[in-house]
Amino acid sequence: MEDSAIIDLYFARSENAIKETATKYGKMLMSVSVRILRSMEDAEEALSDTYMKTWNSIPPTRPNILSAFLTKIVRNVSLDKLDAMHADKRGAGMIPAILDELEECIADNRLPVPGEGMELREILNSFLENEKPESRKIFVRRYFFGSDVKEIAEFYGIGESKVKMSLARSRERLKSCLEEEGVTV
Amino acid sequence: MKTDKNTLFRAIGEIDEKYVSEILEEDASAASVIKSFDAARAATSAKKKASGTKKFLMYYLPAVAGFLLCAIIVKSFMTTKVSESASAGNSMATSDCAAAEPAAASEVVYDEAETNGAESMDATTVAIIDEDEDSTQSDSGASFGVGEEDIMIDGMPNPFVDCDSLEEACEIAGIDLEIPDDFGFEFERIYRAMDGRMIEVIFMDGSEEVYRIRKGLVSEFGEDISGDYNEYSVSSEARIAGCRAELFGNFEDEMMMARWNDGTYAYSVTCEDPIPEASMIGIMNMMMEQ
Repeated sequence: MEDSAIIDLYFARSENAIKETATKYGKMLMSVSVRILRSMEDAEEALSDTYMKTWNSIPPTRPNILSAFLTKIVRNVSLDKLDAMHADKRGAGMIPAILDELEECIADNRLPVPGEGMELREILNSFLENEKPESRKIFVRRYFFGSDVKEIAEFYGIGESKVKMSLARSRERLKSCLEEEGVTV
Repeated sequence: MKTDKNTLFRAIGEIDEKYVSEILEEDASAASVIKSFDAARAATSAKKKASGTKKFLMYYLPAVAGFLLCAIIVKSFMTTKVSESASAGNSMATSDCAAAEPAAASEVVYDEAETNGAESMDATTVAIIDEDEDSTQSDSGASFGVGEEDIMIDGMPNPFVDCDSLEEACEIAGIDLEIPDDFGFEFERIYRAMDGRMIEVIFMDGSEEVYRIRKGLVSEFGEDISGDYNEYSVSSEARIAGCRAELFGNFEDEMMMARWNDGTYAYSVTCEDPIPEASMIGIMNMMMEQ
């Protein structure tokens, strides 16, 4: 079913909307959640919450790109779940490694305060806009989707060292962007 | 601080949807192409297996049988001749052996024949059998080791030059062709060029060709540069960058070949295994994105 038709089902408050969403995107959403939670059982719960959040969001929201809209929800739901599960030892598995890498982007461990310069989201979008497609895709795969380096290397048919190098350079550029927008060194 | 990197990680979850969508589309496209190739490859290898057996029964087996029969006849003929010459006398034995052996060897056989005619006959027979074996190996090499195409290629120079990179191939061919790095990322590429006339890229899965794309001058090769002269039972049309393209296959939505031209350049895609029409059109559009 076309995305627009699925969105129309949400607007019509038809429960088939969730069924069609699950049919078309369930597998993909599951893979995003499993990467974060590392548990099929937890990911299934996160998926149910995702459908519920989507049901509550549409309407009024009419997503431009339904797949991306759902992916962002499932990512946030999964991270919330991870927080709840590991409040004191957050991020068992791969997430700590990702967080440590991202820490390199913050010169003195401070992020811009809302209202001071650009919002963090805007800075990230501006940074991604200026990245070359290849390095942008590698960055988004790693830090949005939580893919590991080996997985990315295999997907693009390149070496792991090339992926690591690309990520390191992207982090360096992101660090510069963050500094320019008010983070003092 | 832990909180800060967490905030950054969370914020990445709020990036513009187009960047997320970019990855999702890439995943979907890769999954669909891989899936179709896997299915098609399985079907084709089954077909290849069947056609290999058929070829063996129709051509190779009769050829081998015929050759063995000839070898047996020649062997028995030569044995008879040598036996006759040995019994007729030493001079005759020398003469027959000289016909089968080099001149230098004939003297040795002559000496041996003087003392023991039977031994010289055995030696001659062995020499003939060895020659047979050699010729058997060489013949069987032609029949089994070398395909029909290779035999033909042996007789004429290969017009293609293998290149290390797409840039090098473009330079030799004098033709521009861009292929994104992530296109067909799972396959190895072979770049080839024909001086000033054509560029060819072959996508390989291990030692098996998956598909090959060509771009060449219409003025040199005409409108069809595919080199694929198979007859297909299904055809369809598409518009690629404003050009009318023809797609061919043997079943609905299982395309094997596509060709089109823009008046200056002719393009083709040929697949070893059938792929969905949408995948074929994806490859075609990729070739025109410059």
